Amino acid sequence: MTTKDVLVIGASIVGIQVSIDLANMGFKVHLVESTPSIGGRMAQLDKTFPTNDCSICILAPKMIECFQHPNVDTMTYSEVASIEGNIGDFKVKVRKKPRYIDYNKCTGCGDCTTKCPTKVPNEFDLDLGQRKAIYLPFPQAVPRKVTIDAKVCKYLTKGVCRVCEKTCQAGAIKFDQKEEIVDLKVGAVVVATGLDFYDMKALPEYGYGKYKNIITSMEYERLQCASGPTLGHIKRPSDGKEPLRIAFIQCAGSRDVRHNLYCTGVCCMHTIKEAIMSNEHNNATESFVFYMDMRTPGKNFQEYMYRAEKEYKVNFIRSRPAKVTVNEKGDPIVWYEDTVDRKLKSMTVDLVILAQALVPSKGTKEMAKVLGVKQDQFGFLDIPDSLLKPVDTSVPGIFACGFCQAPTDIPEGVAQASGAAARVAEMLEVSSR
Amino acid sequence: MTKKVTVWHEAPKALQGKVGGNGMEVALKEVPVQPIGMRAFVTFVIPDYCSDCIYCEGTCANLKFNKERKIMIVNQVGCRGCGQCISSCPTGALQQRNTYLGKIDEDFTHLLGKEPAAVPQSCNMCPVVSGEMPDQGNGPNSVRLLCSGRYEASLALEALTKGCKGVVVVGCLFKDFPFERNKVATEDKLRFSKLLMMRLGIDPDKVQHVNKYVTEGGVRECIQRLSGA
Amino acid sequence: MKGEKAPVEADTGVDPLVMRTNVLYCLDCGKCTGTCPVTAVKPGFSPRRLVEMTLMAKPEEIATNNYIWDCLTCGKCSNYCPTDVRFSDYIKGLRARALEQGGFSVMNHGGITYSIARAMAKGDLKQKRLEWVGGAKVTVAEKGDVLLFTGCMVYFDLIFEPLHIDGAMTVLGNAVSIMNRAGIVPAVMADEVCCGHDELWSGEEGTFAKLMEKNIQAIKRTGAKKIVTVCPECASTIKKYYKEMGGLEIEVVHISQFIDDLLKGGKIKLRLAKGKVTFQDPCRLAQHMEEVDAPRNVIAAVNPGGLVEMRDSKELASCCGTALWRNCDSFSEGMRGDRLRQAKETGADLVITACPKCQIHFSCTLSGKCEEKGIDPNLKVKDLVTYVAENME
Repeated sequence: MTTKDVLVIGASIVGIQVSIDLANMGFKVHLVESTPSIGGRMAQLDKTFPTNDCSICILAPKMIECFQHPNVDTMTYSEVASIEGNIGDFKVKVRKKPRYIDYNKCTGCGDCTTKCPTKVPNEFDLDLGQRKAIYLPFPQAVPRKVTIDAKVCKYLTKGVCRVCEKTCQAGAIKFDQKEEIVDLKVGAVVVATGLDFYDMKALPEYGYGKYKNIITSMEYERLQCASGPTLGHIKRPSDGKEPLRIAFIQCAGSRDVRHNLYCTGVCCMHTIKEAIMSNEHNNATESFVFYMDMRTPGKNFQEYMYRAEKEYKVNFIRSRPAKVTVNEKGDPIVWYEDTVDRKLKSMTVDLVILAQALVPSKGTKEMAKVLGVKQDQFGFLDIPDSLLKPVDTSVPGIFACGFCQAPTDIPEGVAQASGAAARVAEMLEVSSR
Repeated sequence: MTKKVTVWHEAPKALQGKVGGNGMEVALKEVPVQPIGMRAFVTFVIPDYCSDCIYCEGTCANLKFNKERKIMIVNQVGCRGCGQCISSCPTGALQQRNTYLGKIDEDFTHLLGKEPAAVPQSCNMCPVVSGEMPDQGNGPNSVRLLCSGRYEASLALEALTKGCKGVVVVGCLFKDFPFERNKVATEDKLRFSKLLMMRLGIDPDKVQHVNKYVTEGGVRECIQRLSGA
Repeated sequence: MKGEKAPVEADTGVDPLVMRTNVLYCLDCGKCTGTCPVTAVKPGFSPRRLVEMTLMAKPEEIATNNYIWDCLTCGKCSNYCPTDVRFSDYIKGLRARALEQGGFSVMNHGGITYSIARAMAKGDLKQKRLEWVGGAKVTVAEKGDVLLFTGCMVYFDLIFEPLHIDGAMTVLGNAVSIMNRAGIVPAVMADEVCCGHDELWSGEEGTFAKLMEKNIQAIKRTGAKKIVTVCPECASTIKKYYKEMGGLEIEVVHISQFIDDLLKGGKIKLRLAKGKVTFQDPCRLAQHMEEVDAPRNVIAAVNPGGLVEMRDSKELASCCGTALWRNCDSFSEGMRGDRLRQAKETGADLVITACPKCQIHFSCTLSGKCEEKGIDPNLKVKDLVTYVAENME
């Protein structure tokens, strides 16, 4: 018997869009997200291209709309454990990981986070800043409930402390909370599990991890973001100096037979954005983008690139750098062949940013196994008919949209999300008649 | 625009005068000729190849190191063409070419496919010695060097590999400088050749040195002995 | 129209050399040129531009193009190329064509090494190449599971005698002595000929084919299951090209990998050495065979903590400056000078090599005008095998 319930795995902007579309059409959506808050990678960005809108400012209203929608049941800090059945009649088990917090009592005031003694690297800030063992992942988190990280909490590992319990005025701390298994019956599944970052240590020639002033694009986004570890003041890692000459190295780990053969698709644009924003932070900042091709195919993308060159002191150098070293002051030196005037050159800058390759997330790989969905040779969820059915996976009734199926930017991802919602609706409406 | 000099052991006739793919010109026509008497040769240095090592300086007083250009320069007036320096240069920067009608070559391509008896590698300067050789030393079985000082092991080894039954190195006993030095150096190089041939398993007696006054003869007998063997 | 020739049927096939080396995939990105050690000293040279030039050139122009002989075929460019352009193999193919068209490059030392190889290729010579065995007092055999391929060291001894390098008796003798100590009696071949590496990479394919055939027959006669060489050029040639072009399927390792295995198995015991040393990665070992760890493990076993890396090391290491006994010129000396100055900067007074040619080239530069070139003439260069054998219990 077909149900009109839908499971959406992954609450990124793509997952949120699918949920809103389906909920507005009258379907009941179960939205499962493995991190403590919905929002995904878009919450980690500072601005979005090509409009340079503040990312969280345009994401947050969608997050609220999705979370408060009567037809959407959001389960954060949860994972899909198993699935059985066929299209129209899937039986799903969702494992809700214990937050050790009484969900209904916590008000999200944050008092407990000020008192917790344990500090660990903050994965939301790409380990550039720190958070506590009891934490809110980011200031605009939805739901606004704290979570206790069981791996580092002093009480849960060693049996001491419990300061948060003493501080919480709502009495929301519940150390004896257990994981819960929820059984669901859904008619269709939409996967939107997104991306992870390729480890730049695999490219030793660029010195990432060896020298301090060589960072990745996402780390730079966090430095630029006002809610990031440096409160939006761009400071380079070695000495906190403001970088006025920044080198961006494109295709770091992408379009490379030694690492990832495919083109990540979004780095040309996000590099231009970061270069423009750097100049907005300080008018004296000059950026040097080392590229093989500038891939700017979307609406207003090419114009964005020309504006960067004309108005924001962004220089484009056609070359793929051979290596990066540092001088005694810690300034990185980029060594490259300028393919236009055919000379071997070196350039000393204050900061090097690697436009790192993006790969299908760990969650994508896990879900592929659990759902029995085929993956392609790079780990993306395979779309058998990518021309005419661009969101259908190899399993009927399971759809995939966003980066988990192919390199996608936000506008494309949102379009795919609405497309997947339409496919689900068509499938479930027709079958229930 | 500086023209660079390329090096050919013997450039095929078809390529002479054509421009190479990267702007270099084939050198044979560019080499400066010193019209000094009957000078039939010129010794020169290819600038890029000279790496300022130590091997040629001691061989001759006509070689000096030029500090501005950082290469060795040959004194064209004093150079007798003995070839000692050339066989001592490890990189091939020092080169020698004929500029006159007399044939001086170290290339054995013309010997391929034939069964020559012996290859006299002999001095070009004495008509008497060449009289001892088959075809006055201009025939298909001869390789003329400017002087036995030019001899080096690879020349003999190539000749033997290409089918020659033996190699005769002919040089005279002029007691002038630098020829005295040549005799000693040539004997050193012959000793090395023989050690090399013994290790390779080639009979070392296939290479013979005839080093006599011009009137003493001996070349013809040597050739006959090697051919008959 | 009258007088006009009929259009010629176009050849739609792509040149097989270009197909097999992926040259058309070149993205024109310049990463190869940035890593190339020759470009660093000779600004006119560039692997990327050479691809561009040669793809558009006529065959006669390839013959007169001198840049194709400047490449050291070290393989650093193809290791970093993002689209897998096999540049060294492409150069090898171009050189073979250039030779057919009368092209030429300068051979060093009068071409004696090539004359020796040609002599070996032609006749069935009864070489005297095993005299070092008696002198080193080691045990070898005619047949065995492990074959030590000795290479041309016995001839380098004669040619480079004035340089006083670790000769055949030292290096080969030490290699066998290490094997004997581990309980292995290796086979050695009296009818071994030059592996043909230089001929292969210079485009002299005919000579290479003859040498390869002779060696394959001799190797099969020993019944060996594993070949060990002291020279990475022999190792990479036999491992890859004897297999591809001669069909020889056999395990091949370089002596550093072999000793690394023996140490891991506890087969030999070492006394510990002290002092700062540095290591020159041979290009055939680091780039062609992609082995950077085995020699470092061996040095760490002999001298824990004593290895100081040069500025460019492992996959980024630069070549010793001269390849194939060709085109050694002032630029090669420049590369070697840089490398020796890097070695001095580490504070080490001993440079360990794992290739007889690296050792010979460095020794040649060190025996020249060092002070004027800013090189420390007191730097010592030693082979890895000797370093281990000197410190064996």
